[in-house]
Amino acid sequence: MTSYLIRRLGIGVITLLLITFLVYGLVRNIPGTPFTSDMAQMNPSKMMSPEAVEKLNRLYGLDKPWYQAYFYWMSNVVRGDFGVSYSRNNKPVGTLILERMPATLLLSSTSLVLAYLLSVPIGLWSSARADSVSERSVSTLLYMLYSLPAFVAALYLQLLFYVKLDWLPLYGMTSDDYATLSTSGKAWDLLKHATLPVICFTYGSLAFYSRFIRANMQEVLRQDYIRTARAKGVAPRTIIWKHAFRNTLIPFVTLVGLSLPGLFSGAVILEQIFSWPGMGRLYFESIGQRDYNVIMGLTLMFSMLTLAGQLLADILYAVVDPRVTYN
Amino acid sequence: MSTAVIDVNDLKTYFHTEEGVVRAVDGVSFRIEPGRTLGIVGESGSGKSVTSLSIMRLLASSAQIESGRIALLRRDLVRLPEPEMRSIRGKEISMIFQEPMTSLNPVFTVGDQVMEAILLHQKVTKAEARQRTIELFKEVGIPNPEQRVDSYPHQMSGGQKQRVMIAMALSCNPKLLIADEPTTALDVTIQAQILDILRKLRDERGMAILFITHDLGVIAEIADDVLVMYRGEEVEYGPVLEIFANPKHPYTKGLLACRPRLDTPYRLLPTVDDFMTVRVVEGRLEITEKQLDAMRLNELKTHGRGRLLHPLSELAAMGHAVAPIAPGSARGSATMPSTVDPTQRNPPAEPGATKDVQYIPEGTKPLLSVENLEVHFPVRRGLLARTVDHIRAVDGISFKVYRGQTLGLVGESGCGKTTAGRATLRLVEPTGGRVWLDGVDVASLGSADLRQMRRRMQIIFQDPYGSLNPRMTVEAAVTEPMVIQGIGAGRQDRRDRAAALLEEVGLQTVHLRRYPHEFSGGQRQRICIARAIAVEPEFLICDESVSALDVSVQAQVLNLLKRLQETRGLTYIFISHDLSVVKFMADMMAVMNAGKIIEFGPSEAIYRDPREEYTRKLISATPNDDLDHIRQVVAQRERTWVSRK
Amino acid sequence: MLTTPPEVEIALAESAPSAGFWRESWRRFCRRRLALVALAFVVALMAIAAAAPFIAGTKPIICKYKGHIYFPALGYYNRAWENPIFAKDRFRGRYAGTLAEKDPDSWAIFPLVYQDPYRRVRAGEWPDQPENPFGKEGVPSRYNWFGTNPQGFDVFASMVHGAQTAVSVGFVSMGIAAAIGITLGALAGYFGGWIDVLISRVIEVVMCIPSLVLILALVAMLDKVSNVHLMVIVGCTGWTGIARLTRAEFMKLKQLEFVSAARAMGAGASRVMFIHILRNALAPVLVPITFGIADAILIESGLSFLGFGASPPNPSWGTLLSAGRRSIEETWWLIVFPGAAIFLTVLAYNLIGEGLQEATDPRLRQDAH
Repeated sequence: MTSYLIRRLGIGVITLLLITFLVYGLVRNIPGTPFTSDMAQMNPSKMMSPEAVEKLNRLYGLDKPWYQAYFYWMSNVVRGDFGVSYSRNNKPVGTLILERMPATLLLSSTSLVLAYLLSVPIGLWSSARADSVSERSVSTLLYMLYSLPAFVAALYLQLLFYVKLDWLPLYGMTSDDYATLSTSGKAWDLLKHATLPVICFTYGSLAFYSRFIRANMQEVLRQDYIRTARAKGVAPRTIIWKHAFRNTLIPFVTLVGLSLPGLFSGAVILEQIFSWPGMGRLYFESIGQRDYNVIMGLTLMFSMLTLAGQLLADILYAVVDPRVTYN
Repeated sequence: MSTAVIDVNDLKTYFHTEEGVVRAVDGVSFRIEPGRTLGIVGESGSGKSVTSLSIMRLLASSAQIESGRIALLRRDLVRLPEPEMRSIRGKEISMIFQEPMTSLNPVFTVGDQVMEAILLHQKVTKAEARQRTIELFKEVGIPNPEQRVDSYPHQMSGGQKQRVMIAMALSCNPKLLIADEPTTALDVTIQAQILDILRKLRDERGMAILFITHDLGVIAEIADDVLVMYRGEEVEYGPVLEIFANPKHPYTKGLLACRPRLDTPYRLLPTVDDFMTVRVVEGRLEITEKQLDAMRLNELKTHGRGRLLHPLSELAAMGHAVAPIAPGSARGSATMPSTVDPTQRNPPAEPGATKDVQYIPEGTKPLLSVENLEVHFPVRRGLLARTVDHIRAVDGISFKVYRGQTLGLVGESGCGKTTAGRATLRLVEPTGGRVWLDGVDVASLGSADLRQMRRRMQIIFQDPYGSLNPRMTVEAAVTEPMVIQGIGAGRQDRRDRAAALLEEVGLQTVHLRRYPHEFSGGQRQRICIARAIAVEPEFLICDESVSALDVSVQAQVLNLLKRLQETRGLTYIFISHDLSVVKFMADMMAVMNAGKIIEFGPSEAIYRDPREEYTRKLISATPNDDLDHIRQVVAQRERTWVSRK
Repeated sequence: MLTTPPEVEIALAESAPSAGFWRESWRRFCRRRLALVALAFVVALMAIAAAAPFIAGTKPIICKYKGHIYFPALGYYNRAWENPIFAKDRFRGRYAGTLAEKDPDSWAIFPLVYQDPYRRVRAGEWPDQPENPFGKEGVPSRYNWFGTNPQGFDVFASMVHGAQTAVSVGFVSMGIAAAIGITLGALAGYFGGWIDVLISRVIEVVMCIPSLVLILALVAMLDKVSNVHLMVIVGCTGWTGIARLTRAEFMKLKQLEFVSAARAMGAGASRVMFIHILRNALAPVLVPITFGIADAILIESGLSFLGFGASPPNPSWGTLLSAGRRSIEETWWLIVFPGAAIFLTVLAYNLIGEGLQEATDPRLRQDAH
């Protein structure tokens, strides 16, 4: 197990280097630099003189070719220095990410928990009641939800709950008068703002997970050992939740591992629609502003999380499946 | 009458499919007394498994018990509500299945799975259930039961898993044990052990066993009564000796005759078709017995090829004593090796009959000569995936095959026989050794030369479902080797050749345009044979080619292979786990174990006089349906039966 | 074992050649009503996309002008296909009145709906048709079925022309992705060894970069984004799933005996890969490709929604949505109709994908072992 882990980590580091190298090359080749792109487009009068740009470029090491600059960046990263955000008053990238993290985590963790809590019972219920009328209608509904793009759903919900019914706020994480509210008022305000984003974050994965569980359950229920259990006289309910579900868990935990990066990365489009100050939006803005250090910091984080998620999936796999040992 | 544990009366189970109603079981009746064993024998599609699943009421949703009565101690199971049926399953009736590999839940320990059955049906504590499980494991012969209860299924061998299944089935002292092909997936030596355990437990506990199998040999070893099923119908039912000694129904006769028994007198096997014709009239089977004349049977014994053995000098070098032969008789008749005398069994040769045994003349070059063939697979471990060890799948084997001969490779699963065959053809790259085909070293050929060489050597595989590309028509499959090897002038010519080949293997020209999934297993194997001989090879490897087939189909395919060998002068390596099939087919036999050939010689000689302990074990484990043996077993059973009463 | 009825020997009658795999799969697919409806929807969508200039537009499908026959509507497909004579005669895209004005003998057949995705229809252009409203006045009406956008462009016309984007982006980008994915997956799965290690690493790297990030960065690198750019970018980033599945299928299939049989008859690597393995791997690989088309459509509309899509003027469902979001309190029609179009298209492709899966899955086919 240890040697397996070490090998995986070694490969992971190589993969990370490749990814960051590629992305660095990509973003550095986007036309424009942090000092010429956004502000200039917004307001021509703010355009900096070529000398000023040159000076800033030198200051931030942008005058070097990108592959040299990459090693410069990488060596700083190894020392724990992720650089500063050019367009946000030279705020350190680490601090910036940590500032944005809670907003994203609030949405993603809530929706993850909701999706798991709901999808397991729905999946089990529909495999127990396979082909009944109620099961088929629930499955059809889930299928529709699965195909409904989140940004379309977000806009529809905004139309319904804001424009039509005026029950929930349109966007943002808090109201303008948030600071003046009492603690319970703050919580209520946050809840109201988070409701629509959480729904949009949740329903897709809920539909996906429950369909996944149902499909795997059907596969497992075809196996010989289920027949053995029935021949023992085990009740159908026990067969579903004990014998079959325990086996369905094996592919399911892989999903748990793979959902790890989504927990932190947020969703660009949804955060944009709800003006939610999370990581996805930070990323989106940084690309527009050519804020290289922020882009790279986030890319590094996402890729590390993806790799960690895959590793976690493998480890969980070994936990739930006694056949798997990493030797 | 009331003593029967189970009394099945006119059971009818039908499948309702999109194509219509399939009468899987159509009017089957039997009864089993306590302590007795009923064997149900039949081929695939005979409905034997559906019968057992009907008793357990574990049928798929598309199947339904249409009518009939299944009385367990006078309770009718057909009409029992499901919850009550559940309390019967595992307690009154329990079941073991064919596939021990997949019949245990992989994520629970074997102990847990046995304990679950105990806790379900008996009022005991967990600790007591565990204790009981350990005792059961001891009873079924699992070593170290205290540790083994905490093992997961994947940590056990197939035989041990089947023992766990038996322990589970016996955990609540059932009145009836249904064993559905419990030994089919196991090696013969393991099969013999499992049969021993079942016999022992049956006699100790006095339970009834319903034993389902396709293998008449196994039936002869274990059953008191036999029920023969054919396409859902019961064709014959009676005491085991009666069935074997005096079969009444033509199907039973055919089934008994078409098995290549270890001491079979036949050179070509009779088939079920020799005994009866079947017609479907209004969805019902109509079976008419054929008058089988003695001439035909005699022909099967005397015609067809005899044995063709290695040159006498080589046989002598192997230590198989041979009487001297008259000088100058090149391929002439010779006296048999002293240990073998088949003339005792066979009447004097008739006109048209071929010689029993012939020898390759001295000094002939072998067609195929394998020297120290090795296939080692590396075992990698550790941080840098270094090779720490090798799995010696084939570990330095040598043999010679002469033109026109059949060499049998026999051994249990994992002995390396399949890898040896594939390495000979370079389908697996050998890691060492030489393979000389007619003076050319196949093992060192470059890819272009190898492709040329492939025209001379072909292979027929085991799985009739996996060895044909499902997306290719029969025509495409049979003409493909001709295309690759540049045989035939144009499409039409190749099609004509393919048609001729199909006729040669017993299919029809119209089958050319069909896809493989429409054919039965035997027909597919015929297509594979046609494909293999399409390039007119000299040398053919048959890798378990009949193992997946029903016995009656197996006989037909074996006969076909023998006929082709004669008409086309083919040389075979015949690989199988089934000693009796190998002995029937092969002139010379090599017994393999753990990657090595442990015994090599004329197959008759090895069967009569095995030198190695392992070979002896293999022969004695092969189920015996010799009448004397059955008589002995039955007499002994009657004695214990009487003494118990 | 439990679910299949016993094998019954089929007597093969002398008859026509049997149904091949694909014909059989089609028969199974047809049994699923929803999948068929979805297929009909997609076919209709493709027809609409192909015939968009004939359905909604302000350029005549065919007209006679100064003695010659012209097809100005083709200009919607490609600017160059509109005869330069109309530019020379200063039509400025307004044919309805101008034709008669410049040549009294001219005649023209116009599209079904006189509306334009690229400009606002003014009063008096078309008999009895008022000027297109704009802003919050642009509610759906008998002239503007799905309303108008803030500039007064007709939403129906934009959506009909936007179908071209959706259909072509879906197909072309998945075509690219399938070509890359199947090739790499096949190489990795068939040859194994270091080729597999290398390709698997590449797959892992591409998979680890969040796809939207990669796409945004690539799009940002381009000066003027066209639909072709988008297709290539989506295709070049969306092949990993296909590659992994192809690899797994190849690894599974190469173990089968018919592959060994082909090798034993002397078939070379390419023959084994393409004739034997790929033909069997194609059905399972088609399923993620179908789902991938839905994904590609989603990505395109998402990018357009974020303002990263093809440069304007370019009717895309996502662009309409984006406009709708900016004035969500007033222009609900800019959200409801394009949103529904995206949803239905994605749903249709998903349904087709699932239908395909069930029609070709060997475990669900009882007769084909």
